Amino acid sequence: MKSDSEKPTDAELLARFAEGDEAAFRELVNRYKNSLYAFLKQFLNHQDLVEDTFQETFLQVFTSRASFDTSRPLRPWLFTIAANKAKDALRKRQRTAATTIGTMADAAEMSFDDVLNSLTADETMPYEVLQKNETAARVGQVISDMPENLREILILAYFNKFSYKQMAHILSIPIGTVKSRLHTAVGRFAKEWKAAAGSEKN
Amino acid sequence: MSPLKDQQKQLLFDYCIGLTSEEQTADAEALIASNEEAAEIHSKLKAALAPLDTVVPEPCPDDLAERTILRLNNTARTSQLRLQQLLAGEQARSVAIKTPFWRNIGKMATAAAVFLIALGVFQSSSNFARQRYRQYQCRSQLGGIYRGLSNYMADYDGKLPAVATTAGAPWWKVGRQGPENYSNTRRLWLLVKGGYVDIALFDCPGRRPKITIRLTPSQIQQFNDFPYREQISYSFRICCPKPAQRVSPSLKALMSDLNTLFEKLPRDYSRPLRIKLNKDLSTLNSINHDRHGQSIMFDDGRVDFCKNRCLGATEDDPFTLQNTDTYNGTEYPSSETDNLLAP
Repeated sequence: MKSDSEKPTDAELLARFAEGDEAAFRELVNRYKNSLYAFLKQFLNHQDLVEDTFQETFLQVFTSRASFDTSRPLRPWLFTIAANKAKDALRKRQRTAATTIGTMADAAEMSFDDVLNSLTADETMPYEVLQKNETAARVGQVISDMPENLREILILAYFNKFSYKQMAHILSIPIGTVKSRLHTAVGRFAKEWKAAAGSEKN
Repeated sequence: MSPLKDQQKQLLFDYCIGLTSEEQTADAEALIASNEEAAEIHSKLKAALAPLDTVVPEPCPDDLAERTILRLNNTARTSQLRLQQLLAGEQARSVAIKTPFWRNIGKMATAAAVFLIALGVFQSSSNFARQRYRQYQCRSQLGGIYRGLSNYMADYDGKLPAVATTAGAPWWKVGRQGPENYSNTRRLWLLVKGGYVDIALFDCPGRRPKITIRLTPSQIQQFNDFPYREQISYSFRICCPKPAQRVSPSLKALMSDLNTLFEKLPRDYSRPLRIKLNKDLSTLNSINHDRHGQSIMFDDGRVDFCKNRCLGATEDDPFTLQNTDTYNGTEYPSSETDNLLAP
């Protein structure tokens, strides 16, 4: 087994990848396949879309290899491509989903305190009412029912631990927006989870 | 015990999500241990996020990884092969030297005549094509703004961008940067400031002359509104401040090309606005597309290019209010069937 010091860096790997080195393809795919697959699986929740987007992401890395700055880390770039491809795939599938925004009321933005106020410290944690193996499936369903941009940021932050700066880069939005969107995502998840667990309890 | 600062609350949030550095983690733990409010927030957040920890990431199936590697290999080989073919083709290509046609005076005269005739024939059609292209681009920009609005609403619990206003406050003072919310465009500026919509999308491609004013991201954060009127050539719905107003079930206009009434606003905000409706102001289309019509975005995100100002079954004109002849920039629609896009 190779030690970490013997492993090629992302930059070395990408340079070989760009030249068409087949061993580099294998190494790169194996290095990122699990984290990328988990991200797409949670974000898209449709196996056919997940598989297509997974392959398209690596193919895009190959076709855009000349534009990649090898002094920067590869992982955020890979996830930027994956997130864009995933959103395109969803858009193609959900062409009919249009919300009527004129029926919504005007209101002030949701502050951090609003998010905190929406959380409750119940003595019995709602997830305890469900069997452990059912919980993960139900959580997955709650996440997949969240709006696209909230789901995306929750997965990037909580499950992939990208920094605020990296998320801002991946999503092409300011850091302030990343923070407020993540607050909203957590508040929304807590609210939906409580409702889902509550209906199970009843 | 003093209440926690926003920065400390954010630290606790980051700690629970797992986004803190080693140093920040130590700070957060010390804060939780020493402060009751911090301990409570931490407990709430932990409970809210705990279900997420039950999710075990599914590993990538081996066959998917293998298929991906195979596709990459094929793509690389195809691209290499194509490159070789191009190089070989380039080397094998014979170079033919042709006599330039303009050496022949007869041919030159013919070409000039054909060119002039073609120019005359195609000039009008190319103007028409340009107009149509600008209309298409304009609709596409409004579509982009709608997508930004939708993303904003998803982030803010389904609410449209809003700023605190008082009834009777002027909504026409575009560019005023003071603390009072004196312009209807401040709501849209929230989309620019939050990174939801690029500022360039608010400048209709059909508006002439084009004036481009560039702002850096840090400058954008410092402003409270579009700094210059030239940066926004669209008009947005003036919302009725009365909370009891019910929204009509029919679709309403949300945004459009610049309202004809407000093409020329006073630069001096201390002067009152007074616009008296006349025949031109009542009937002319927006200036943005040489008065051929205006793009109008509706509640559901549809964008149409309308050749006149009266919309739908109610024949409402979104550039004017019903029963109002004089405008001073503080009016609001009085009923749900009346719609005003301004300034």
